[in-house]
Amino acid sequence: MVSTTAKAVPLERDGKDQSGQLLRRLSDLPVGESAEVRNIAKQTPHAEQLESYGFVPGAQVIVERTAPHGDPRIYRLDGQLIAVRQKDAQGILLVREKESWNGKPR
Amino acid sequence: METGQAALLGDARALKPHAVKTVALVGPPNCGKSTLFNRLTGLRQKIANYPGVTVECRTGNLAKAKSVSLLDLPGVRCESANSEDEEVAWSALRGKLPGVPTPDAILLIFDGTNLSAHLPLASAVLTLGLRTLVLVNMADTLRDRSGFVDIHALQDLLGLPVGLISATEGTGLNAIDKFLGAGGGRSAPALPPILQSAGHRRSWARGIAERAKYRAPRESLWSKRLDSIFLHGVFGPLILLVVTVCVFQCVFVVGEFLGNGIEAGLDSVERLARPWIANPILQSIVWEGLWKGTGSVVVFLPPILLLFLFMGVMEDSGYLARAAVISDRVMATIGLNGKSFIPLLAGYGCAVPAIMAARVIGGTRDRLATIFVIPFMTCSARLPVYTLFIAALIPAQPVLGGLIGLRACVLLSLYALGFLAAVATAKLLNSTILDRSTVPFVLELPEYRLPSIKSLAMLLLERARIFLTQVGTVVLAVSVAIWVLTHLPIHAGHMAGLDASYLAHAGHWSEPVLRPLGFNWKIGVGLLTSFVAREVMVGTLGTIYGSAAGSHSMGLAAALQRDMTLSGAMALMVFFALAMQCTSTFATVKRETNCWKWPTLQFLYMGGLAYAAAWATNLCLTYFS
Repeated sequence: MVSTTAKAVPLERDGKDQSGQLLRRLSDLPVGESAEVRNIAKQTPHAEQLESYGFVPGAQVIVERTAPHGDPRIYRLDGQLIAVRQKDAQGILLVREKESWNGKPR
Repeated sequence: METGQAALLGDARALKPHAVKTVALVGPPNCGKSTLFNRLTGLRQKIANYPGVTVECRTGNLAKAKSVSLLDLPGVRCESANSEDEEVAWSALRGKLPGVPTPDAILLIFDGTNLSAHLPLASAVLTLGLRTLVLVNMADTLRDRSGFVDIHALQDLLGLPVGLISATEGTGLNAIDKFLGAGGGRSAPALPPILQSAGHRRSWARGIAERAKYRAPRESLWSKRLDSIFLHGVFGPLILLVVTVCVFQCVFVVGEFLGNGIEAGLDSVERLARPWIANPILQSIVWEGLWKGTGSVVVFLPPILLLFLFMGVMEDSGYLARAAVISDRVMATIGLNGKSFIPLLAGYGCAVPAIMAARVIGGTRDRLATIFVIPFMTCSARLPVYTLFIAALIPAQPVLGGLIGLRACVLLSLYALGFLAAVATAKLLNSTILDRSTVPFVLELPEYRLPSIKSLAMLLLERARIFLTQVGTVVLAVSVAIWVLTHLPIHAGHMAGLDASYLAHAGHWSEPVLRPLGFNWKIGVGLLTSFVAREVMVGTLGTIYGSAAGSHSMGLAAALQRDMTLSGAMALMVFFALAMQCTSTFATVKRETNCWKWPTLQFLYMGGLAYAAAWATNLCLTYFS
């Protein structure tokens, strides 16, 4: 079973976490690529609504395509297609390369 | 979570096997709850391939066990309610929804094609402590696209009976009979794990899905291919535009053709049956009052049903969700939630269900703004008025090189006018009375499905029933009242002519208000009655012109052509595009916002705007012609 026991999520400021490393945001993930969700940024309003659609730590997300004007974009998450506005996808932070949340290689 | 535990331990009723009376259907949006509901009850309700269609609880008795009532609840994703309709579902489950019996068993239904996404809901439902049967739906898709789930393992892991079903094919449903028949089998679920956060629930669910060897079916290639066309950068918006134009062109052309058929039928009935009534007063009241009044509204049944048919096909096929994605950009610029698209589009059918559908919008501010602008969307009740006046006064000429008719063009512009007014109003609301805060736009896109003929037929029957009930009650009563007023007072045993009637007297008083808009008093009386409901106007005019000397033998359109100017007709249609002439809409807004302030403000705002715009239209057209 996958373990997601409380790992302290660093506070983010100016697009960087406490150690000064740049955050990866879902809104920046290129079309066709997949990544693992790390957490939802602290300041995001209505974070629980994003969570209820499955944007929770450890979830694998693929960018399927973009809507005609590039916004919103459509993601595949747990077998469902979900459209999210870019503004809201900014609040969804991704696990950095070589930093898998559950220790599994991607 | 703690309260759920307490309820579980304290509620001895749930632990004892007993006869099940009320069963609630619980599940995420768009998992097939309503399809199952229809299959189990035989009572029909609207099912659509669009998340969030069931906005109120619906109940029906099981076809096989009449004493058991089934409760169809709005879709829920997790235990915290994100929007008004999820709130409704949870309070119903906890027995806190007035007028809805507390459920004593639950059918928890999941979409088998994305089981792991929704399984966290199980932990929240488990804490309710009610007897629960888990149903994994869409067994057919799972089988056809090589998905898999070990039902027995899932049963052991959840500590609940689990059934694999296909609601559309009707397979595996004996699990439900067994569950209800055997007093519920297992009386109470195992103690659920206490899971604090969404993340914990997810990983719990992921663990269960993994151990039940769940494998999601391959994604549908068809859905993917269709998406690459319908969401294409250039073709996507173009297709949406073409679809919209075609729908309206078809509603007008085919609807008029079928409507003419009905009119011819009604006329021949009148010709054949007229001599049966000998008494001249009775003859007049039946044929000029009742028949002309209601008949002139009934002919608009075909275009209204066509409109609902197209909307139904778009909803059921899954295209509507794509349309919402395409139009989200536009919605964002006017400051509306992308989810407002659902209720706004429903507003093209009827504002009443549309305003109720606004519950799916999370966030009070966006919900209020949406409710406020919905009546601007051109509802089907405006269609009779538009079609009548367009047919009477707009010449049938081709424009744009024969691509589209002038009449369809005028009709489309009226739809556009309503839409623009909604946009402008939303902008105005955002910059004035409503505070600016944002709710995320997240929308699930269901796979494309072939719409079921049966559910579409049921939808149309339901709509036809609603429309004809309105004709049989309100329109009928108003028609008779108008007939009476056009024939009184009686002088020396003779009924008054139209121009000397009470109605004419009343109508003449209103002329100073109506003259700037280019309406005569007959139109004015029609306008007055249209505030009950828009389509009533057509019935009123049918009765008035049916009684007018020299015009009772012609059709209503021909009579109007003689009696009205083009600018007056355009002004009238503009008035209808903008005014809130519908008592049921007013009452619905009052109920949904729970205060008089909003509907009153809305009525005055829309009325003022309509009068000003109609006046300007009449002025401009008179000036230029």
